[in-house]
Amino acid sequence: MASQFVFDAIGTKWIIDVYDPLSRTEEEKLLARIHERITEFDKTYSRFRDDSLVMEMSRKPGRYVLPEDAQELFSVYKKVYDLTGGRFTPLIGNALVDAGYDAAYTLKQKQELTKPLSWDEVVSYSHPHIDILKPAILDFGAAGKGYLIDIVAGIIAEHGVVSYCVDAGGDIVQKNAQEAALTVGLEHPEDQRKIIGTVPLLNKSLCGSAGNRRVWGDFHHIINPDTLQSPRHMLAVWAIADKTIIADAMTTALYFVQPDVLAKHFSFEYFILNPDYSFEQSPGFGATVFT
Amino acid sequence: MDSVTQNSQKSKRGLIAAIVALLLIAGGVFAFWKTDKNANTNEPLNTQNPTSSNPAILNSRYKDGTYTVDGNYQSPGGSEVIGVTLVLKDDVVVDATATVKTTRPISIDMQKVFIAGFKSQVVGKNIDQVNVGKVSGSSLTPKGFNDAVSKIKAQAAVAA
Repeated sequence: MASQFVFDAIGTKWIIDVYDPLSRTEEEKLLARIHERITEFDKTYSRFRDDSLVMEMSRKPGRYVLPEDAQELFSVYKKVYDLTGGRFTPLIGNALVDAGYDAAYTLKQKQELTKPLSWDEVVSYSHPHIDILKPAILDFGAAGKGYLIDIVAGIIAEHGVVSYCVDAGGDIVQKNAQEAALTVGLEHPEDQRKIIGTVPLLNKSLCGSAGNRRVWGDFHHIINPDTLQSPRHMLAVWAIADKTIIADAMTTALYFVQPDVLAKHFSFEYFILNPDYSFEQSPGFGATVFT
Repeated sequence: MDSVTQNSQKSKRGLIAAIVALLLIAGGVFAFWKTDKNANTNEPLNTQNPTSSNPAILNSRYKDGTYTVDGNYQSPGGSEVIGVTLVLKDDVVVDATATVKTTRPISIDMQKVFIAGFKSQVVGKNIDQVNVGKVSGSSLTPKGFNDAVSKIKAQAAVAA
């Protein structure tokens, strides 16, 4: 009998399917551990709660100690930051808040946006110590969710489960020992009742990004630090990779650079939907598109 | 029909014929759509509608990759060039782009019209019409966010 856990966390809806049979006790133990781990992550990296480490760092420069999981997170962020000329940046936090996407969801622009500081102006990180040189709100929305999905998947695997699916708001990792692929619909960015195609997912992670839900005024959830506006040249983008942190990072990075810039350093497949409804997909993405 | 329209019609026909010839000639013949290769979870997408009556479907495989060629054709203005790039995977064209390469103003317009129209556009299908396990798009928003959006819309409606 498969188990399914459904709950809200980190600002979105989680649906976890465990295909291996679990006893009631095992289910409870696993779910408790997952919740515990998500809360721990949230308390470190969320800019949506005042008691987080990230918010503490935003108020007071100084030296802080980061948990173990910071290594992979910062490593991916710095690499993609460098590849995108600083456009993919955790320092976009202040701009997002000024634009209105703050902890209270006021969704009203507070003031003129200012260009984010550069990585080196704010962050000096040598694990486990991070020196915050200037007050700035670090935002990990671009890849933080993908990373947490990987962490949760790891917990499930540690419990001896081999076939499962973790879906957090449409970012999905699927593992199936029976090699049964999951058919995922690609949501139509302008009509949530529709999909524009399907893609099979097996033992990989899929992330999607579009400027349709987290949208207010002239903004959506991504702000270009050069223009201080939300990019409009793409309607939606999806990426498939072996790790969810990478798939997640690529969906944001693709708003800022061409796929081949990233492909030299990361292994991933992509699908881009343009505003005129034309599209392009990498040869290995494998989507069946409705035309 | 006046001579300008006639010329633009000829140019359009010439351009389309060149693309067809180019795609048929360059590297042989590509399979534009898969015949029943069943039991394959990776359904290929159908990027091209057949533009000729007889694209032969070969059994031989083409090496996966990106192919770029220049297509030459004649317009009433003279020789023209258009760039075409095709991406092949498993004998199927999975992506295609064309670029303007000509320099005559009218021909540039013609090529732009062609390029704008030739890329397939997606259409949506209702979710309940398709068998999917899950849907992926932008992240589902929490109640708090949706409430905020509703409030703002309400305020905007009142203020209007």
